[in-house]
Amino acid sequence: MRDRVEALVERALSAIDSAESAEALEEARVRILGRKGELTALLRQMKQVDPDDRPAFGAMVNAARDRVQQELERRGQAMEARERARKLESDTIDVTMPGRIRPTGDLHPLTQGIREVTQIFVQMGFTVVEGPEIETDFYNFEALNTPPFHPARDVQDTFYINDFVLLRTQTSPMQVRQMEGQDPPVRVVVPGKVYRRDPMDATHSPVFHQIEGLLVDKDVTFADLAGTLTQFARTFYGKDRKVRFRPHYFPFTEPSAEMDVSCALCGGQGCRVCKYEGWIEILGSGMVHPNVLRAVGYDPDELTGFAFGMGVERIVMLKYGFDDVRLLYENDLRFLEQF
Amino acid sequence: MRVPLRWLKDYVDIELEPEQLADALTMSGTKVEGIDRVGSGLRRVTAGRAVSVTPHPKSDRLRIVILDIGPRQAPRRVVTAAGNVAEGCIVPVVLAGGSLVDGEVIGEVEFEGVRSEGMLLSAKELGVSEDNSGILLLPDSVKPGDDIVASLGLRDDVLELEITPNRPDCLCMVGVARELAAITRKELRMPARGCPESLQPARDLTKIVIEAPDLCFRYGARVIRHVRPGQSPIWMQARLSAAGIRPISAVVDVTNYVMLELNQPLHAFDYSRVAQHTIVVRRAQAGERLVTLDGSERELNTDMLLIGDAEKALAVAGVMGGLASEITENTDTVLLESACFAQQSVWRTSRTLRLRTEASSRFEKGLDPASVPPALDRAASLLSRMGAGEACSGIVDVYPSPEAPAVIETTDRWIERRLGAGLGADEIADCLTRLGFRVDTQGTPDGSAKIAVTVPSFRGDVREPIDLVEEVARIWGYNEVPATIPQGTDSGGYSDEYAFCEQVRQALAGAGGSEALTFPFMSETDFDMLGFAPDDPKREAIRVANPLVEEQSLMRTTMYPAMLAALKTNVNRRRRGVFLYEIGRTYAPTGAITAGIEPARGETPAVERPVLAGVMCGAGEGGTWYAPERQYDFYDAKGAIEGLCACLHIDGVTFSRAECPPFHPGRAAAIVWDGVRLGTVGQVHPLVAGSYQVPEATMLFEVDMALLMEAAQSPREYAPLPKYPAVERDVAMVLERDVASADVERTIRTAGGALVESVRLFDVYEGPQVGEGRRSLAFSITYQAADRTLTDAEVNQVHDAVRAALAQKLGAVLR
Repeated sequence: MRDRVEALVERALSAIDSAESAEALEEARVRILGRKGELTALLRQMKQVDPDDRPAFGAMVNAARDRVQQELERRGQAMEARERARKLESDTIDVTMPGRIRPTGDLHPLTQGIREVTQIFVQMGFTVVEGPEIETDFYNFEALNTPPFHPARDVQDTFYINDFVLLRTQTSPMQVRQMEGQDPPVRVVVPGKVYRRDPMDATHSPVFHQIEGLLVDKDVTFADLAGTLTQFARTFYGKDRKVRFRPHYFPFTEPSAEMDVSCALCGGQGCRVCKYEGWIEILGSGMVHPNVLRAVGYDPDELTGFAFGMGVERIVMLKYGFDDVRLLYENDLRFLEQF
Repeated sequence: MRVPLRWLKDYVDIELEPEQLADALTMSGTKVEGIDRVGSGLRRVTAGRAVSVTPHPKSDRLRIVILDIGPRQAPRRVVTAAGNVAEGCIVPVVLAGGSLVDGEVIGEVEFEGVRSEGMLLSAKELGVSEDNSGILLLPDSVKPGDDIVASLGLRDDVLELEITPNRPDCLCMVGVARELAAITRKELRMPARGCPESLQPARDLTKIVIEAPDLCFRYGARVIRHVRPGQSPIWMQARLSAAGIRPISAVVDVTNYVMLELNQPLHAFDYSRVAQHTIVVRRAQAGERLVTLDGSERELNTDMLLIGDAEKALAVAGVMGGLASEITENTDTVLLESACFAQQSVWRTSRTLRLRTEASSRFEKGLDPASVPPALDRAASLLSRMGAGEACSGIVDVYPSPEAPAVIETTDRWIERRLGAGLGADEIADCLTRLGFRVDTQGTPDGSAKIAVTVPSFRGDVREPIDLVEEVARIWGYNEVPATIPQGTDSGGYSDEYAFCEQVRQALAGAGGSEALTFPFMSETDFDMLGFAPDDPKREAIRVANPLVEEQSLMRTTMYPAMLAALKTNVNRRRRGVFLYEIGRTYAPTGAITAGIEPARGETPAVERPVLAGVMCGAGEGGTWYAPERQYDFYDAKGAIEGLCACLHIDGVTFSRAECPPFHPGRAAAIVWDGVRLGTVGQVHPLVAGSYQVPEATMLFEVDMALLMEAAQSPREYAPLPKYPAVERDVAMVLERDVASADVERTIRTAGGALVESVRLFDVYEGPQVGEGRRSLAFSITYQAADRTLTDAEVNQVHDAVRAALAQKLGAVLR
């Protein structure tokens, strides 16, 4: 009897193993475990078994059924998995085909430059404002300690509207307007367009952008200027860049200074970008001239301050490494899309 | 300014290498922009004596010169075409294998069968001057074999300095030497000024009258007799050339040399041409004329200062001399002028005459009256040493109101408080003294020091205590000042306008637009090209008085020309699709500009409105594996505006047909919010497209940013989320073609009342199936109530009402 059970299990397992489809497997199940199946038939022969042996026989048949059932399940799952895998395999797509993009545009590199610079000053407590581009001679020059016939004013460089009105040559007139319009302390940054009567070439543009800064308060010192602008330079250009201040001249600041940062390309050794100086000029600055404070009715013995200005084109060109300013105003999308 | 180092060393000892020197000057405020190594091209150049000069056997043009080039050297044979070399002449020669000042290498060359072992040199080939007319003849003091490159100073390092306009005193060798002496703690040596004088006093020979003391502060003159015609010594020519001044003649070179040395322009008049030997410094008469040295006749006006004699004009003061009184080869006696003119006068005259000279560019920055006599003495001394003239005794010097030196009073504390560094009274005094200031320090009971500083006459730029702060700081070292962060607790931020611009830029970039940046100019012809009517208010533009080019002569009143130009650039470069936008300004005159009067203080002279503009053209989207290519059309541009408004949460923007330039009359819409026109969007008029050479299917828009910002500021309120389901029903109809979709939507909303949650146009059809002049529109309507689930009956009722209204009010044939 045992032999028959074992033979049956052997047959069943082989049938299960060779079943290649869900139907074949079901067929095997019915043939073995079904009501008319072989195992059921075997069970029916219980009567022919010696009563003493019956419990053992029963257990043997049950074990065989469990075994077959288990095997059916295993096979069924394996088949399902294979079926699923086959299905997924046939669902494969070409993931290297381009995706559906919603095309987006870009901000002009000068806008991005202005944003990057102003954000740093905003974090230092400056407010970003804008001012008029068509200015009076008074605000652009006279109130900035640059009276008529001053050597710093050259008629060649200025676009005039009439004797009193011009296109601002710098963002500095906003220093005066801002101080006139508010009580100290003043902390503003002013980005905007400025105009110089230079024909367009690789290094000149009649229209360009500056960012002006002004801080006026009690007891502001040259050391504060150095600290603020050094912090800006380190944030904008990186902590490893060296910073230095050189004496310079602007009519509306005294003392005046230009700030250089060490050249990133050569690390200060000297290269084409820094004109072999190892340093790159970044901005002009200085302590607000007492005459400017007087012009807006601030008392220069009570209040001091510093101002600075930088050219955005230059900053952007240095950052991205191109040397023709005209690219910024051609509006060639192949250029604009790079930023 | 160009400063040859060998020349500079006459006045100050220099131990630093040129690069260190450049750095020291730069860091104290005299920026060195470069170092020019002049004469570095000269190789194997020496002096030779012409032992024999014989004609070339085969050429009339050439001669053969045998040169003694010094002991222990074999004589050399050189072929030359120059005619000015005779036996016994000392001449410069470059030996074969050597090179000229411009680096050109000279080899051994055969001329008609005769080998030349070198080449005799002109002044130009040596870098002495521009003279290339013959071989430079060297003085007898030069011996064959001498290293003339060194002894004549032909090789030098020349510093190229940027002198800021406040420091005219540094426009000369002595000025730069003074800076250097202060930085390096060396002594400054002033140039020798003594010379033998003849017994005849200059004051007996000439008379000076200053009739305009407001424009001429000081006028001095010397009389030099028996001036020698011809050239100045080679060393002087070489120095002038290195400094960038062309050598001309002995007397002119000396005046230029002294100007470069002391920053005092000098002018030499031919004494015999000065009527009654009297100099009159006066304003020109109206219409007075003078032929200046450059040969052009100048008309002068009464604002201009001139130098005249008893009868006529001789020179434009501080700008240029007259041709008639110019010194010539026949001049025996020279009247040498050294003067101090008002800077504004020279500035104005120079610009009115459009005549800028070395002298005028110095005078207009303001010069030191104290250098008038020393410059005359120095010139006399040089001429005498060169054997080029004999000075009569003394100077005629008219100085109507001498100025006392300025004294500035301050304290060490005041200076320290401005700097934010405590450097102490001694350090302050030391810095200033080194620069030539006289410093008197006096202690006070509170421990601070009173400082009285006497400003030297050449430092007119130092006027008040703050100017001393800079002088102290730059000598002490800007980078010695500590870096501190200013006190203050205000938090920063962006102005509302600026922040709004950023928001709009971001929204449009997200919608696929790239930001352009254009010049805010336009031209008169743009108005015609855009099709603006003759009385269009946009034609009232602010005109630039001195534009660079006509295309940039107006401040723009519209952004369209700039947008079309940007488009054209991209179309020309074969770009398939273009969507550019810009937030720029347009400009309109105020009353003050129109009237040409000065705007009141505090006012802005023009009305500057920020405007958003955009242009779209070409392949809008598609051309991909998933979507066919589609060209931008009106609805893309409109969609950009609608998307922007959605992004800014501006509800209730409507679009209505607009007929206005530069648009296609049937394809443009006014953008309206709350009854206010925010801007316009549309396709350009075909004629405009033609004028600007862009495709006809070009879309443009302009939106006023201030109005848009106002619209964006309407408050946003929370609406509770719907609790009950919505029901969607479609309605399709055929209408006359000119019934606006917006009217259909409005009719639906009106008829459907509060239950209409949203209306969406989902299909448009025009074609034979609906008939000529008609089109079919299909809308999907969402019905919803806030307080209940709508029943079918309710929805049917309202939907029927909508259909009825459409048929009744718009003549819709419902399908």
